[in-house]
Amino acid sequence: MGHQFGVPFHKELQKDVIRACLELLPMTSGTRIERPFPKTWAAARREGKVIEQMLHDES
Amino acid sequence: METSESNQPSDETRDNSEIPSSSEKQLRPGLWDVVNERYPGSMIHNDDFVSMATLDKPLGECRLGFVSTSGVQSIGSMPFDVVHPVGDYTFRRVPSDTPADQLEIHQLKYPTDGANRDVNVVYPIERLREIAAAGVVGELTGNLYSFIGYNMDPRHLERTLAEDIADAFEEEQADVVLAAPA
Repeated sequence: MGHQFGVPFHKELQKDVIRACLELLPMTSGTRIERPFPKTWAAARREGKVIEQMLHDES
Repeated sequence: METSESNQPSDETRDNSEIPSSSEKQLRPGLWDVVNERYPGSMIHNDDFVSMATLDKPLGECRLGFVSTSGVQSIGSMPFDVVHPVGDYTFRRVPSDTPADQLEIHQLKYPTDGANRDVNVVYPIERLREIAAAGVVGELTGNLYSFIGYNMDPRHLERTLAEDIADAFEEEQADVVLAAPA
């Protein structure tokens, strides 16, 4: 909860989530479609920590 | 390698429109039975599904709207009532060009530590603008929308709040709306 679009400052991941949703639209033929997102939460968090560290180092 | 079947949903993309009716009621059959048992009346079963509309134009020409249960709102707008025992059935319009640092969160029901540092994790207003600028969608609606997910009368939510937001998107001439929980 509270992280539907990924982790803080991970812009590409946040956009990937939105794109993944939008890509489903042309497929809609029924009430719902499920598709696993091709990245684990653990990997997202790891990447987010690296990004935050980089931002911290730059500031 | 691309094949003639590449446009068909893969095994990982499941269209559940043809699954048996007994399990079609919810994504997780039985979940709402448990919730209803623990919190009587707090959830509803919907047997009258409305099928998703078919996209009738290229995504790159669509006007995209966004609505979230995150309780995100523009600084200075009337804060959501986050302590009302049955919830707050109002919504807020967030102009889609609002700078992210002009947004604040009024919602107690989810962890906001990440969103307080970068609101885009629950309300990706900057990412939506970038996606529109890149031409993935035609444009954003003039306003994006928000309400709080803590509403204990789901029928009231469905018949008023949901209808009001749907009407608002119709006025905005949205072709597609992305709805996200928080």
